Amino acid sequence: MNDHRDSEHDKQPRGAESIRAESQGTGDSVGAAGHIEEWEHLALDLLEGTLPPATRAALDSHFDRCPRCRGLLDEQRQVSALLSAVPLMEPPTRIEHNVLRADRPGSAARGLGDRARASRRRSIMRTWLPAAAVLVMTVAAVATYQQAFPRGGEADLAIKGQTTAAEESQDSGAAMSAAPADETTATTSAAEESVLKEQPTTTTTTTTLAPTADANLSVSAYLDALPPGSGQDTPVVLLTMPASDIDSFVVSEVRAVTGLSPLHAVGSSNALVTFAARVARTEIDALVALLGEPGLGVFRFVDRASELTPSLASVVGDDPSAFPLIAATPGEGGGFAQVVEGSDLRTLDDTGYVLVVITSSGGQ
Amino acid sequence: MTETGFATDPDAEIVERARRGDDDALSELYRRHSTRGYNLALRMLGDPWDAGDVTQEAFIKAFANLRSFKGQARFSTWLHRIVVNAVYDHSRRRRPDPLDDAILDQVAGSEGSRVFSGATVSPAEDGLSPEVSHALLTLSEEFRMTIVLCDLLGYGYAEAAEILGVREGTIKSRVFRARAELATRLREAGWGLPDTRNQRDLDSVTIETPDERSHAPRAGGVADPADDQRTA
Repeated sequence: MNDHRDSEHDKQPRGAESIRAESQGTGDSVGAAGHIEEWEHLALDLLEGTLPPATRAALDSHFDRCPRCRGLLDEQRQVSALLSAVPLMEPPTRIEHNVLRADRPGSAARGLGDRARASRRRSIMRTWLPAAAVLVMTVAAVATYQQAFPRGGEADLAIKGQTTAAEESQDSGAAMSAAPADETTATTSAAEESVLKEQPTTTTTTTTLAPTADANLSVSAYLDALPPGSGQDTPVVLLTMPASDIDSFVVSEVRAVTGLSPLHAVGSSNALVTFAARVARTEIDALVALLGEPGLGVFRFVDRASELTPSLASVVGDDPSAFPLIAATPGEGGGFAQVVEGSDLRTLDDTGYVLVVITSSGGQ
Repeated sequence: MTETGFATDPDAEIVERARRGDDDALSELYRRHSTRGYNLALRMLGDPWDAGDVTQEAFIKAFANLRSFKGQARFSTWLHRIVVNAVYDHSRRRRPDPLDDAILDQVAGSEGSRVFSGATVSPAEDGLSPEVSHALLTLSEEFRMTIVLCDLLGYGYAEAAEILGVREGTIKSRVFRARAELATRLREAGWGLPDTRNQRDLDSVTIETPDERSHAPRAGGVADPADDQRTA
């Protein structure tokens, strides 16, 4: 391993305080000045053998001169080796028996699962139009999620949307479809209903918009109906879950279904698990349909980012650096800025994207 | 969105069969993943009985909800998230009342109460020396989870990040710190981890290639989904 050092070492600054190292993959220049704690990730990559030769040589030259860092690197390797050598234990055989015997789709649970699926399709969408072209649309999905295997003694995963049962509805294939709401309809009127149908333009009405009678109204269709220029703020879809106890399985379902990562680490004591993602308008219906699958609570759809900021800030909490996606940073021009992993900071304005936020109702 | 697609998932075909009601496929999925799932729970909780319960609960949930697995992540990633969540749920439920801790402290001293929970498990059942087992359990849950996934189960940093829903950089930072903390705990316990802080032997800083690390399935013929990610 010393061969490459002779040839490449001289390309690197020699001083321990001035090691420059290329971080793996990104090509970003990382100042590896100082000691190992300041470039932990490079030390791990070194142990993995994934560093480019030049970087490796730079680190080696530091380790040559710094016995403390050398010791810490050795320690890393030793602990890793110690744990890697721990044999994997076989699970007790009773588990296999219990797991495979358990009710599941294909056995008695199938009927239940199908009922649960059907009930999820009883979706309700309501919309209204508040002041000054501020369109607020709430998409309430009845979210009856009947977990086939409730945990002993605990409430199962049944989650009910704030708006309860509508009629058995709609086809099964469509994205989220809209149905007239039940008691929530009372807050609206037929006259208002026409506002949406007539493709509202920028207006100062303070009308509350009725749920549309158009059962096929989709979120993207609704977005299309927004007057030009009203998207100064990024449209935001809020999906709320009951605040009391967000079952981590629901969270894992959202993660699995959407591929999103929660802003809060799953399993943290803070129940306000939140997802945020920037989604192309053209994909929003598909996403909302997906989110209907796990049987989540209520979709709230607002077009003003500013409505979201305080609540999301309260959800995000103290350690934004821990989040894979950081959303709802006010951007220039009234839009949103969001850090998407692996991309630049972007301002979410009128670029054809919608910010989707999934949070507990406590985050509102 | 994740990059790992269903198409590259070694479990894709089996999952598909399982969805169609093929019980053999379910058995196969169980055999392929239960050892890892169980060991994750075992090392997190430190108790074989609890680990068994949690593993069972997680697999039942996963199999009952196979339809909601859409292939955006690998199956093993999806499954491990469920196990991870079940572990966290369990440890939240189990977390003792502070009063209990105080009583235990009075009875056994603070050290006694900390050791108490893992003390009923013999090394033979556990596959881990008591010192290492105890040192692991003194790490924070976050550190322990990360190091269990990456070092004990051999998951690559990228997949561990996906399982836990954090950045890869966060995983690396946790791995580094968790190892350092574990080393300190082991030294405190008199464990024979060589103190190499003052060594100057250059050759000890050899570069390990991924192949030098054992990522091969260590038990039960479990396919290692981390293999191709580790080197990527």
